[in-house]
Amino acid sequence: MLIFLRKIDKKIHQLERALVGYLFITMSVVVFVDVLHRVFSRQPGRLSVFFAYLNGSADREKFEMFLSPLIISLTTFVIAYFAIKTHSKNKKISIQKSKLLLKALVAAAVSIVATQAFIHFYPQGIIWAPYFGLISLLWIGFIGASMAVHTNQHLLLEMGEKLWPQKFLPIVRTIAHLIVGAFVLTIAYLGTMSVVDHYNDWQSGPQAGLIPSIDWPKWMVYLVIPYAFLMMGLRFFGIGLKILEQAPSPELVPEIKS
Amino acid sequence: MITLTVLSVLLLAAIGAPLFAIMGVATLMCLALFTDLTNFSDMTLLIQHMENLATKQEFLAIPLFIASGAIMTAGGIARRLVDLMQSLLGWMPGGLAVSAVAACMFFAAISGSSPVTLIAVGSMMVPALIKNKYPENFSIGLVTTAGSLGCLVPPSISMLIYAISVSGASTVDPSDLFLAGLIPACFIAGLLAIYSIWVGFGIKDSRIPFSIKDVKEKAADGIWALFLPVIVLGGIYGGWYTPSQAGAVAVVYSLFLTMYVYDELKLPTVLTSLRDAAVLMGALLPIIVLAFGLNDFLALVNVQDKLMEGIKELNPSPAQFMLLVNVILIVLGALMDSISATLIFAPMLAPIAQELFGIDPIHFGIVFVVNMEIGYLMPPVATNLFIASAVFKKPFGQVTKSVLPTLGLTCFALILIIFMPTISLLALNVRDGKPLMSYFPWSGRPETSLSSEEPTNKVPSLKSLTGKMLEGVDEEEPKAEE
Repeated sequence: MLIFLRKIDKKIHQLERALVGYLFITMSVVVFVDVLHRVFSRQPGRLSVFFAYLNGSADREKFEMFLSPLIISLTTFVIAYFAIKTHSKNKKISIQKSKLLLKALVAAAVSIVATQAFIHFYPQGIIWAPYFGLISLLWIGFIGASMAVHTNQHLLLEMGEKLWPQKFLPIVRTIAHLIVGAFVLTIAYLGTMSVVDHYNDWQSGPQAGLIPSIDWPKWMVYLVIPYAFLMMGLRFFGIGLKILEQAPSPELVPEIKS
Repeated sequence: MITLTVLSVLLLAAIGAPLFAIMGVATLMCLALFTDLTNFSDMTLLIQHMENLATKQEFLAIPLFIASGAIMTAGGIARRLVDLMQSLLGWMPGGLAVSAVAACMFFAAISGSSPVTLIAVGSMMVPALIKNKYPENFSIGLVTTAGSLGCLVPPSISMLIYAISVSGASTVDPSDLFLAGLIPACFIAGLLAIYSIWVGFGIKDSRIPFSIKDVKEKAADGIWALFLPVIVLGGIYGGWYTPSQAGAVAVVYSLFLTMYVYDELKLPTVLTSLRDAAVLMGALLPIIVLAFGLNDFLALVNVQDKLMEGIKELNPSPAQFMLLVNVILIVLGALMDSISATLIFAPMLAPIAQELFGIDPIHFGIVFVVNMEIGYLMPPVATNLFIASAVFKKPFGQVTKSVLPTLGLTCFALILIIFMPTISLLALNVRDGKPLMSYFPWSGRPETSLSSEEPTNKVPSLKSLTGKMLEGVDEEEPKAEE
């Protein structure tokens, strides 16, 4: 039974790891693409406004038609050229200059096509990007809090444990885990009450209880709060009662290089 | 009641409960015992703070900068920065030590974290310094102190947390704080560099001959890493993107750099780094939201007004107030971690400093962050001393002794930063086209600068230009607060 519970805990931890990793990447890419759109291609984009301002001209259309794609392709070409050069040097591969130029040109062409396709499909940009970013932050943060119990990485006042003689430490730790477990389960309960409120609100009307712009039900988004605290509570109790294993404090410090 | 609450908190601390639990139990007890919120369901106030995270744009910067720092740290950036700095600065007296300070500063800008900087740069530089005949204690002390500069070098997580924590009480833009931190960071790094040169004069054969070929070679490799702070800070101050969006740019740039350009990381390693970043975020987030709950309690019982009344009765001068605040902050920094100290005390102290004594909120923020930096080096909860002790495999007592001279220099810098607000505000004054000098409000009100009535003949900054240009451009941007 113990082995089974520990296996389940490990599996949940693996799922949590995978989820936060991919969520981090997705969140960053979505917000990054939104930034690119705001800077380069939105009408009026920041770059076009800037150049129009320098030119003393309010006519931005010309810029958006010709200059903006030119700047995007030129920037991509320069970055790609030097990136490929450094990459080849790091991989100790010799690359011909003509091949290097060709690869950089292809990258520039791809950037133009990608930008045009993006503008075609998302003329207003990813307007839900900030909301998606914040929801991801909530999920990453709280699932991270649950993972931190498994990996023993919550911040502690270390001097607390130093007060006790070695032989009392196991019992002190058990008491600490049980008390903290009770506290986080209380928070999980409060979180559930709040989610139920949001669910009732969502049920009350078609547009009620939704996150603006992205239109996701609030109760689904906030479900991560009771989930994370429930998992934390179960883990604290499990570790306190020796049902689950907690990772030893992580080796914070790498081996020193001689 | 008060005794019961204090005893509960002390008991939890004594049994080694996590900080978030100590903070949460204290908040729940305070709300239940000292306010009208007696129903259990009223405690969903804490949950509201958690849910509100999904409406606060400024929070988005924290996980993104943590993630980019984690990726860059795993991607072999520190080695390249150290190599570049050595080739650039190694020729001067104490050059290796100066390059250690510079590497710490740049790496802090990339990683956003003091302990990570200490581990990444320190594990390479301290053995190198000792091998080049620098005294062991000097080497450990210098790198440990320089590693703590991470608090002050933008983009800094400590500054973001400061800006967020005081956001209800006074308006501090994180990007202003970032810009204001640049000169104090360079100032402290400069003092450490002068100390290194002074020590370096007494060491024979410690210099590395300067070679332009070597610099070129190291720069070609290391320049990519140096671009990160340029892209992030340039984008923010150029008005191209917000600090939160800069965080996303930093993550994508870090991925591009470490996965393709340097080819040091594969997807599984990246995911591991991001997992570590999520756990770090998970360790911070409950503390942050529960501290907001505690701040609610402090607001409900008017602690700030009472504190203001108390201070008015004492009638200290602004200088006495700042010195008192600094002593308190250094003691707090020594006793608790800097994030909890910032979250609890910054919203209380910042409005008092501004309203009663006319101290500029940005200047106060920088003083606060420098204090937290010193807190990283003050026992017993001196995070960086513990890390240094473990990294360099030296007794805690020796590490504590080794940082004393550089800690002294940092405290000296702190005093100058407190009483010469120009150090903190110069960069902002230049950006905003204001008179360059800012003076400490000795009389309790901000003194007008001597040159304030003189016509200013300054070139408007790029941000002020783009700010004007972009008026109305972003009107359709969604406002999360809605």
